[in-house]
Amino acid sequence: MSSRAIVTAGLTRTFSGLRAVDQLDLNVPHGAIYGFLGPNGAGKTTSIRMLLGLLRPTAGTIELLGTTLHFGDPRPLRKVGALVESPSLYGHLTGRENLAVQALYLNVSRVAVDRSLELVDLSRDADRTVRTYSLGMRQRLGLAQALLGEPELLILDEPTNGLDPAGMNDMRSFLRALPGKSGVTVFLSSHLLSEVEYIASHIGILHNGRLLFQGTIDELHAVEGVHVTVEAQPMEVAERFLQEIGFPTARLGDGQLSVRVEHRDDAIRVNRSLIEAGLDVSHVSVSRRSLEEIFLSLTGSPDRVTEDR
Amino acid sequence: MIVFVRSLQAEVWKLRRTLAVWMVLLAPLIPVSLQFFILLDRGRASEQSTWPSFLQGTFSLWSIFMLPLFIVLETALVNGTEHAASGWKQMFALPVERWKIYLAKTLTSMLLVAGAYCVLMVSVLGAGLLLPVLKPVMNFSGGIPWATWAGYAWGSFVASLLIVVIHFWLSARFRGFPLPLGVGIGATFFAVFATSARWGEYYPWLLPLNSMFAQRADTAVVLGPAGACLALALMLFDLSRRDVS
Repeated sequence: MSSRAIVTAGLTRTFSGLRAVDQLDLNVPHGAIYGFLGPNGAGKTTSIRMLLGLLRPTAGTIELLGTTLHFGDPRPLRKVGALVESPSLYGHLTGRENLAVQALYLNVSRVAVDRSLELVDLSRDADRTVRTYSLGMRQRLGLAQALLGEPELLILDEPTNGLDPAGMNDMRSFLRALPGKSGVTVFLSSHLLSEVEYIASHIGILHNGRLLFQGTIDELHAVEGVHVTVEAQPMEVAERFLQEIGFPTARLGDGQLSVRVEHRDDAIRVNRSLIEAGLDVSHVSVSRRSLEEIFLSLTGSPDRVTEDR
Repeated sequence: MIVFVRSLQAEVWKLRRTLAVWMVLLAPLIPVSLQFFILLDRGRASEQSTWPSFLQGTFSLWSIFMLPLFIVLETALVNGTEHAASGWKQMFALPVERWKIYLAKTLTSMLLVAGAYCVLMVSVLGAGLLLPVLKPVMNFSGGIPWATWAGYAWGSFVASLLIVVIHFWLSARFRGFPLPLGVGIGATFFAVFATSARWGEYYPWLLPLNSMFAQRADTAVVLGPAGACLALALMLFDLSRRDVS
């Protein structure tokens, strides 16, 4: 088995001259939960549709679970489960019948249907027509569809779309438990950073069709580093002093300074240096910038990010 | 092959509780009951048996008016299920070739049309047996002309296959009823005028009717299925290459 679940090289798709996805080099390790982030319109769904053989790439290659995917040959999708945007369900059929139809295409047994229903906690409502399902139940049934063929790779496009906070929480805990339970690689897209921050092991950030960042969550934080918030008097002197000894600073307002350091422990050095220099320190705290802030700074000024990398 | 059979099975499953199935039972009753009530009202005594003209009248009415609209409806419903559920993207992300899925759906549409022919055949016999009971003056003697009955049904059915494929193609490519329905109504309208025209012999929407008349029957029963095969190949090629939105 390949150690990479998804590898794309130079994956590009243009729509009437416009590059929706531009030279995408995805690298998704086996067993990862990979959060594919980007604002609406960044090219996430287009990328996912290419990964599933629904859209023909303008250029580039796709490898799924070690097999190259060619447009028109769906064989590499055998061990891939997918939920693209809203789930595709037949309203006039029951939940169980919806899965049974898909089971025919996948050539899996009725036992697998029951197991999938149980996995998403829909066994009790399985014999009602899907027309009567709530949005959350539909989303869960869509997930059951994706899980039906016992996939090694799960590709989910905005899986918590339309769910209430409790439903989102359920979905998150469910996804987080998956790789440990069954060794599945999960590739999920989202425009909500909070949604993936706590479950993803790896992150890819897409903006205007281009990948701005790809790596582990820790690597992402390392790009931005740790920030120490300092309140010291007089502030101008403190600022100049910190810059002289090699710490980049920024004013936060309210008389506070944000000092960028490499590690948490550097906060001690900052504090001691300030005191030894005779400044009055009234506040020192360590804060990691949230993914939200990192994301904004990445997408807001992509040029700077390239420089950072 | 096994994958294809399972795809076909899946299509049949999807028909459960749908209007498509009800229409198979109801649509053929319309021309039959129309003919039945006309004869009940105006039927007169005649020297020759009414069976041949009753069968010809009913099958003609079906073939030129009801059948094209029925085909529009059934193909639009079979594909509409997928459009409504955005089922295409789900199916095409499965390890099944697209052409197998489309072929299974086309054959399902043909099966529905075949089902309607079965209902038509049974109900036209029922009506023909009931008429002389309700109106004894009418002459339905000489027994049922089985060969004519089966010949009309078979000829009209195979000649209709080209229209099935054309409408399947339209409704697979375009969401909703308006376009396929517009084409179906327009084409049927032309068919009425084309009956006496020379090109009417080759006009797809006239083939089922043509199959019932000696001078054009040979062309109709060959052109219908042969045209269907050609159109099917072009359709599968076209649909399999398209991006799925």
